[in-house]
Amino acid sequence: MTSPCEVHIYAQNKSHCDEVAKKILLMAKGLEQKYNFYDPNSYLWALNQRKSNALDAQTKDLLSRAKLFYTQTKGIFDITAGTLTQSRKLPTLDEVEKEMKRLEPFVGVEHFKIKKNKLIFDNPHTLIDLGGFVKEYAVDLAVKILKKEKILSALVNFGGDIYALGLKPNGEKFSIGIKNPKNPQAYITSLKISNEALTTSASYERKHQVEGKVYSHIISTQELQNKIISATVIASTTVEAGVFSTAFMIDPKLETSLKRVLINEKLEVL
Amino acid sequence: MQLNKYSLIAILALSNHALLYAENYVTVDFLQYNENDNRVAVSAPSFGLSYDIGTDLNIKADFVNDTITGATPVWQLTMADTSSGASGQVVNNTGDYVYKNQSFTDTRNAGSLLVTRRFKNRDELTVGANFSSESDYESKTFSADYMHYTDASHNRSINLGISGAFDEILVKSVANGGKYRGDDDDKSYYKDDDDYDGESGASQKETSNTINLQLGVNQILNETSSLKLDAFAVLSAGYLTNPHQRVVRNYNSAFQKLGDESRPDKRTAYGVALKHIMLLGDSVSLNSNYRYYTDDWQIQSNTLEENAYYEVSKDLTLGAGVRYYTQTSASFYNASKDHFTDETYASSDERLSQFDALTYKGSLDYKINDNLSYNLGAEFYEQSTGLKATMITTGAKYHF
Repeated sequence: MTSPCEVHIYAQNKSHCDEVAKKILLMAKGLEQKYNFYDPNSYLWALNQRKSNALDAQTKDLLSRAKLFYTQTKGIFDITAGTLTQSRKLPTLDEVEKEMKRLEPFVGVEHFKIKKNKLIFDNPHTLIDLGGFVKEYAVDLAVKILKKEKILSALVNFGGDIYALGLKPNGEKFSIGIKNPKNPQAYITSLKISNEALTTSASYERKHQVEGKVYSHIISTQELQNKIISATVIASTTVEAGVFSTAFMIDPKLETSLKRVLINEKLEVL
Repeated sequence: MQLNKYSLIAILALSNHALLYAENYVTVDFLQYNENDNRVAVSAPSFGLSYDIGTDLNIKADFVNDTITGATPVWQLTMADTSSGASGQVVNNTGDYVYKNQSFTDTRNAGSLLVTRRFKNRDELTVGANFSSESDYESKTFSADYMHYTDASHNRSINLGISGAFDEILVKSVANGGKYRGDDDDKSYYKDDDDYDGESGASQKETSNTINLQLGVNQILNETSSLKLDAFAVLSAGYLTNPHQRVVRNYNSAFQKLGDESRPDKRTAYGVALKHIMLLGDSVSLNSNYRYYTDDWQIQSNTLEENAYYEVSKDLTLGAGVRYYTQTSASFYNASKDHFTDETYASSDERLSQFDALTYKGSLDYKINDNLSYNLGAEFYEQSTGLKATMITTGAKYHF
């Protein structure tokens, strides 16, 4: 993971906390290596390059949930958008646009199926990129480990994807500062959560520029709308929060009962 | 911390009263003031001296040492436990804003000197000086009051008083990173605890000046009652802001911030005060007071007070009283965190809000012998904002 990650564990026994933290670290590093879109040694690379099509239980679960999220977000959250990633690295705008046009027909979850623990693509071009929610999935797995280890109070933050387990030792909910998208050194607001996940998506960072046109790291077949520049969602799982915070960046009017904080270009908190 | 400083006009009023019964004495007093909710507590021992030089000159000196501890409510930021959003280190870790107690400790030393000269017709001229010093505040006050009897029977007197207070306030300096007392691990408000004069750059000095004018008439109505009417004007200019108070601005936007409060640099106030003393029989006296105050900050206040004193015996006097106070709020005051945007003047200091207050008082004065007397007083104060306070005073007076 290229973002800073932290886990705060509140418990009586320090050595137990250290052990639990190590388990979480091991799990996170394992996930990172397994689903690295760019690493030729990763499990995901092998699936994308069609070198293997065997799905383990974890990957099968992830891909099934991704299909469900695709439907829930009306196609906004699409793990096959990674098919277009490489095209954006072409040097000229003309080449980028041409390549994107060529590959667009192969984007969409309908281009892969899961059949008896096997991943089946209907073409050689569709690529799966789990970067959109593997970090959030790692947070949820970390929480599973914490609960299994009977930890009652903890705060997991993997690059801004957060789960607050229980309450702080002083009995208060965890306070999460939401960064100002135009001045990330300061907060714009804060939210209090307990036994909930919180994620924020924004278009202000990890941009890619080609001949003056800016492409956000949020890869979607649909254009980013220009009105919302930061979306924070609170949900019961980090994966769900992460999926919808990304989706709100495309369609702020997406229908869902999840709690959210949206920030527009004028830095108004909606 | 700016405390309520002694009003020299009040001291003059007391001293005038005392001079009618010119005598030498020494007083030792102790005051204990406590607010509810772990707010302010003040412990203040004080010493006083009154000495006649002949029949026409009297000198009075007072010294008080206040130790103040506790907390004052002020808008504060709560820290966020972690952050979500862009990468990069957060420099200003802010959460939400709460109006809650911020603890502090301070010590105040104050002293005053009054010299009263009595003339042939028994008119009196009193001049005085008062000095008060805290860690972040110094005040010097000079005053003069002239009382003139308009008739030979001395049933009516006019008094004219003027005082000037020159205050210096230390405010956080930009060079010190804008630290507030109580922020972070800042145990010491300044880099140098003794650095009142600000020369180390830990803080910057602001000044304010106040002129107080008072004109009054005291009329003996009959054998058992008197009436006093005073009119006063108070003109203040300079740094009148409370440097420890803050306001939240632009709460419902990305530009929300916690900033210094800001008050106008001028304040003009007027008022009248009426005092009626009536003796009921040989043992009971009633003191009734009314005071009206108004200023250009839109604060108007009314004070109604009734005190009764009962001389149980020649050695024991009991007192009881009640005071009702009500004030309107300053025009630039608001308690909400989502009210202020870019207003020039803004304050959330509760003391500028609209409130009512009731004070119940009791006192006891006991003459141990011809030279020595002992006094005990208690006041219970309750304000509509929820603030409650008790004040206990005790002391002894030795005549010589």
